[in-house]
Amino acid sequence: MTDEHSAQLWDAFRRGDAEALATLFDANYDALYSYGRKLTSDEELVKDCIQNLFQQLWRRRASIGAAPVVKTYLFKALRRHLGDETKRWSRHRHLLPAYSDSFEVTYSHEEFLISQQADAEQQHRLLAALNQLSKRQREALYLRFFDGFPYERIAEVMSLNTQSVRNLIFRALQVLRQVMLASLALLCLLGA
Amino acid sequence: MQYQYYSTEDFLADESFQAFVLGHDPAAGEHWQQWLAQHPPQEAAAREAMAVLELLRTARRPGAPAALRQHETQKLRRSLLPTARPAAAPHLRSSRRAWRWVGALAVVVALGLVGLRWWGRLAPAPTYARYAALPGEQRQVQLPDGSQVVLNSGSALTLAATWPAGQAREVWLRGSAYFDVRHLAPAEVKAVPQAPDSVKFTVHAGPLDVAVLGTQFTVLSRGSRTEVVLSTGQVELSRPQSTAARLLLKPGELAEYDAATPAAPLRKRPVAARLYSAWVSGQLEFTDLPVADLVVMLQDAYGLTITVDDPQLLRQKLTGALPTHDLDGLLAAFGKILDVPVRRQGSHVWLK
Repeated sequence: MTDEHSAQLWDAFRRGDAEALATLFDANYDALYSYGRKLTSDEELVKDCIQNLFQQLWRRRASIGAAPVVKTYLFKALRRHLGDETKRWSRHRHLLPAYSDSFEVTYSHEEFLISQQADAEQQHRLLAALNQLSKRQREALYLRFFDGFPYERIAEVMSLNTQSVRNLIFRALQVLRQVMLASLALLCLLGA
Repeated sequence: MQYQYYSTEDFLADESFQAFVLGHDPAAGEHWQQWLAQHPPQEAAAREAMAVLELLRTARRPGAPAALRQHETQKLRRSLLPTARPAAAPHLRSSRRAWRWVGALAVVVALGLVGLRWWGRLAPAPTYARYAALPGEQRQVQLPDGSQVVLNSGSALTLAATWPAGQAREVWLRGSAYFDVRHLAPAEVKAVPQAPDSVKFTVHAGPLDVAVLGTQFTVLSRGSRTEVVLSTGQVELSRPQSTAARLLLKPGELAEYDAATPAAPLRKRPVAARLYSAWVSGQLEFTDLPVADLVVMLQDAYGLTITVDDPQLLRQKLTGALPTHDLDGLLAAFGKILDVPVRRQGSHVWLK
């Protein structure tokens, strides 16, 4: 769905078109669900938060403004809902620290198809390197490479400035570069 | 462009370069292919950056199972306001039922023909649809042209059961409703007074006619008074039973008509239109709104007289939200925000 089409549906929904909102829900569900599952392993929580987010949009439609980019708006809102829920939970249970950076972002094998460039060994190293990045780096990397968000929108979603996002992603890519150089060196060693 | 000074790191961090390697952006792809061909000294650095980004090329988001997505979408649909649709289209689904109906219809037609001979005239079919929102509930209605109406508690809307294309759209309203009218006129037709009837949409609210092309507006009626508040577009108000001048409203204007003083001309004034449609969402949200404005809106929208003892209070600015469905709940919350006791007697409210 193009940004223009989303914006049209967004306007239609704000004028009271329930079907337009349902269409936006359907079109964005995959991306939102995946992102939510990256932030928390609790599937039920993710499903509830997405439902609540859209039901709240519907209740408040008369006072909601035009969204410059619908997908960015939805990602940011889901992130906030999940953060609030996690925070409420942890306060309730006195178990977890209050939410600040408590989102867990982990990567698994299913998310990378084996390509010609990377063999199984390299895949393994890649995943290990990805999962050693900081949580924020992992999240920014996810938004950039799994959902194709530009830096500016990642900054919007994560409530950071664009320069910070650029730094997060750059540092993450540098780690990957080290992994790649290491496996190249290994190849040379084996070849020799 | 300073790409000629780019190191591997610079290429890695460059958004457009990333998009090129990942195949996100064909335009960026062409640009970089050309650039690399023209700048051989940078090729090594660029190649290395490309190799790193290639590792992420196969990144796939895990996704949601299709069945889950469909299930969740249906769940959302059910949770949105129950939508009423005019019963204009036939609802025969199964063929067995259809045949039974054909049989019944044949009997009816035969009887009808006999009746026709007997009476010499055909009984008129019901041609109007009527929607009503019970007291304490709101109802959303989708009109045959796709326009949406939210009827407020205790209000009713009447309209022709079918709307042939090219005919003026008309509805009759008793009570209050929020209208979101679909624009059918060609883009160049913008002014309501000059538009042909075929693209107009008219709400008959008592003695008042509200004509629009495609807009969002609220009609509030209370006792002898009718108010029209425009959110977007343009509306034309007229009183067909009188010689009073027509009145054009711009977004953010409120027009008022009082049946108790029918001779008075229609008047208008600027208001915060959003406040008047707040009942649709059940929540009135405001940011830095002077208390004085909120008081005027509450007086208008609920037909109240509000007495505020402390003029200092009126100058305060508020940010927050009030529930709009129940007046006493709203006033209690309002008092709590202001930190003053609230007393109501009928339509008179005291804040002190």
